[in-house]
Amino acid sequence: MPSINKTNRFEMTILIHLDAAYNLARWLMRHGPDAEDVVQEACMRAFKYFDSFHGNDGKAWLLSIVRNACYSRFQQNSQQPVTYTLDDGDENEDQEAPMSENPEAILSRLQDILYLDRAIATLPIEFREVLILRELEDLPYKTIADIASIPVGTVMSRLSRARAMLKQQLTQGDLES
Amino acid sequence: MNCSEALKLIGAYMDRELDLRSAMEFERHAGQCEKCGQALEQAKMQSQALKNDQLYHQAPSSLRTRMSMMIADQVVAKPDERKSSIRSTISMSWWSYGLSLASVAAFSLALSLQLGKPSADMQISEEVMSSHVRSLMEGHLADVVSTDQHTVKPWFAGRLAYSPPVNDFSSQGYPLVGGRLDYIDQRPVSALIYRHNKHIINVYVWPDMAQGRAETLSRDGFNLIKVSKSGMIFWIISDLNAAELKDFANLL
Repeated sequence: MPSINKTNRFEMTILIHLDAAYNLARWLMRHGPDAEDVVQEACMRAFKYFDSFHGNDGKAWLLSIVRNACYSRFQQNSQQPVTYTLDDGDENEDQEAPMSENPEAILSRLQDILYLDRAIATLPIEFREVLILRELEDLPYKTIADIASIPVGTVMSRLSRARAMLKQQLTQGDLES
Repeated sequence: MNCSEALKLIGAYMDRELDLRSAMEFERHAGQCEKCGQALEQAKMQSQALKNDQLYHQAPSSLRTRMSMMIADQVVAKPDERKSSIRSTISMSWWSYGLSLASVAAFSLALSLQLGKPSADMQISEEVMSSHVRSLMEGHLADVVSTDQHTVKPWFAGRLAYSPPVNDFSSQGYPLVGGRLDYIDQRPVSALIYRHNKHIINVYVWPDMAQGRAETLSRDGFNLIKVSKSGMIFWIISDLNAAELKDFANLL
């Protein structure tokens, strides 16, 4: 039976990562209430299978459950294509992003949080998720690979593609503000 | 190492994911090549800009409390465990339930201490503030976009059990932008959006018979005003300066 010991352990190893869980869900779903639903569902699931968790990285474990919950939500609602059509193999080509002609302009956009927010939100989900896990959660490539169930090499190429796309959005993009 | 190789490694170098030898080769190249050195600086700047608290969505406190409650419920509420109703099991369950509730209570206490003043208004102002910030992001501003009060007002009919007062104040410099359904204080409420120059103003309205003087509050660069008028309560929030926001509040 779930014991006081189990709930305490669950709170200490899993629930303390609730912010990270919500942040990921919020960025993937791009909608606050949906993100809350997904996180709640993921936490229930995590608690149910907590006995089978023997690792020492509760954060990665919870985030992978949250990620899966987001993707299955998309599939249910067929809201958004789950896979991006771009071949991972092609991702290496686009890495030489053009240098910015106007460093001041890009600097001011980097300071414009609402613009940044929109620019990240426009990235396809596969690229958005690695970017969020790396830049906002500060996770190493190996952990990101575990969470997203992809090889480390793919993390690296998607991340660099994500950064290039973001940079392009910042230098040449013209998102409605 | 040539430029094309170096440019591919910028990200991994910045993230400290390169092995020592590649990292050293990269550094040597970036130190000599102006183009790659600059590209590295730009990449660092972009990466740094993303590590901004405002881009990080922290879990709402309501979600946190709900999760703690849920875990507490799991301990007592599983029917199959109740069946094995040995005395000690039950007393153990109640014991743990009590402890879990205690931890929720401790959390709420910590939360209210953090807020300084554990009042209902404080809680609402927090919700209003995060809703306002959320509304400014990626197309969340309005569910119905119209400067016409006769379009916005009927839109709420059928969505809410009350009809919020909607007016266009264009001639006074505060044009109506639209309306949105939002969720404050555990109930769906109408949010009306107005604009003054480039500042967005959100007005949250719901029925409340309580009468009270207008209150103003300033937090994190936002100004908030709470006004009660003809059976409705209005929470007004914007990054507009306090004086102009007060002018606006007087129009309502």
